Amino acid sequence: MEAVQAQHEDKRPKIVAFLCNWCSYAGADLAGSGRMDYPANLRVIRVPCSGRVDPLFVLKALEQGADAVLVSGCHPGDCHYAKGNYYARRRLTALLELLEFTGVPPHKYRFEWVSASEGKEFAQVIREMVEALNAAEQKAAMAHV
Amino acid sequence: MSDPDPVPTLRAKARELLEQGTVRAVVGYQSHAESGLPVPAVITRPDQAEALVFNPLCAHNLSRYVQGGAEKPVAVVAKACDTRALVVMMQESHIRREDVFVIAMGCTGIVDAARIDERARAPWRRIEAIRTDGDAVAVETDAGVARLSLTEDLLPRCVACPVPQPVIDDVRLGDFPEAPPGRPDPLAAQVAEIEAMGRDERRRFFSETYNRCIRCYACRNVCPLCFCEKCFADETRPQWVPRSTLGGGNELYHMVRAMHLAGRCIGCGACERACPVGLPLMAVNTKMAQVVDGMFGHVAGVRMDDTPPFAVYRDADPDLPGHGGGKS
Repeated sequence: MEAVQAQHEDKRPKIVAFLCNWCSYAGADLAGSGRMDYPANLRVIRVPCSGRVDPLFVLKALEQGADAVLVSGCHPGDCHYAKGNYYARRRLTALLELLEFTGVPPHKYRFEWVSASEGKEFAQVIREMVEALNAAEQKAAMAHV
Repeated sequence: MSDPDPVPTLRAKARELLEQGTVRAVVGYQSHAESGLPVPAVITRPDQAEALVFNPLCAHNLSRYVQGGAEKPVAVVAKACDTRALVVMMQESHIRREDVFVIAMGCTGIVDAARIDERARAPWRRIEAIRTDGDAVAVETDAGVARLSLTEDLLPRCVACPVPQPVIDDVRLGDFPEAPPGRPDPLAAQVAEIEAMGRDERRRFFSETYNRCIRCYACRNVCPLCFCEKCFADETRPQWVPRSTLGGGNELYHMVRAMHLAGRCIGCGACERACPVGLPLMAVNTKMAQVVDGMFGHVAGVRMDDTPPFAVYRDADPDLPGHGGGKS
């Protein structure tokens, strides 16, 4: 048990994922219950709605040392609260522009719509994120050789 | 060219408003007792109206002083650009239109006070008078006259003045330019310059910028639109931003501030002028104003009936990368 825990804690890169309760969290759950294979680098924070995600959360997670942050919610039109993700979309698209402008590397953040039936897509998003993080780490290591 | 010197009219108006009890206070500019530079003044008695001044050194956005516990109704001396801040505050239900009497002052630009040091023949201690003649501003100091130009020595945000006419006003004093001056905007040029850098270079630029921040919060405190009574940066439970700059948090503070001002910043540049370590704070603010205009068609404070851009949405808003728009 301890060994498993240690392995879990050391898992790098570390991705902090803000998942909406109704779609993306269920999507992640489906990936798990469907035994889909994806890297165990996630630390999930369940939020009631992607509209709950303050850009502050994303920036704070990065500042605290998260290697990457994922924000995921219901597709536009599918929000459990009808319009929460539309407000989220305005904030997240604006935040993307700020992150790009200030030169934050793109492998450090990803915002995605994932529905409760998209377990496969969720696993794919995580695989892509981890691949991008590993590639960036390798590139950085090469720069020091 | 109706009113070459609006100051006597301004004083008369302020006196009248206070005498008749239309307002309980007038926020305007007065000359600083030592330097003679214009500084904010809040007057509540008619006899204080004689102290009011207005000249091309009146840089402060006085809308900062109509908030919170300010006596209301209140009259505020506002340049055209300053009225945009009042409009944003009203759109966000922070102040009520009927509580503010807007004395709009004609303005062809504010000159950079730092240029007085460069143009005065000797170190000066006190400004005796400020005279404007066409595009020339003569700042008469105890060490001789410093001649400034209303085209060459403007504050960056005045060079391309996008809003020469007040958005709201109760009285207009002086002459207002009909249209923007049509000069290239140095703030937009700065954004373009940063965008032309590579991503790594941009990261370095902003890291170095924010590393120099001493987190005095002057940028926040001077900002007419940073008016939360409880700022996230002051919260202790949870403590988003550490108290000491040694514990990090500079970048988080500035990035979150950029998000909080996106679609709200009116570009007055007060943050940058207040910064004691000379950080280029307007770069992200200008960029985010462009982003919100480009994506949501919203320009802060230019129309009274606009809704704050993050309090509304449209189906056709730009979608996340990889999603074509609408349902995927």
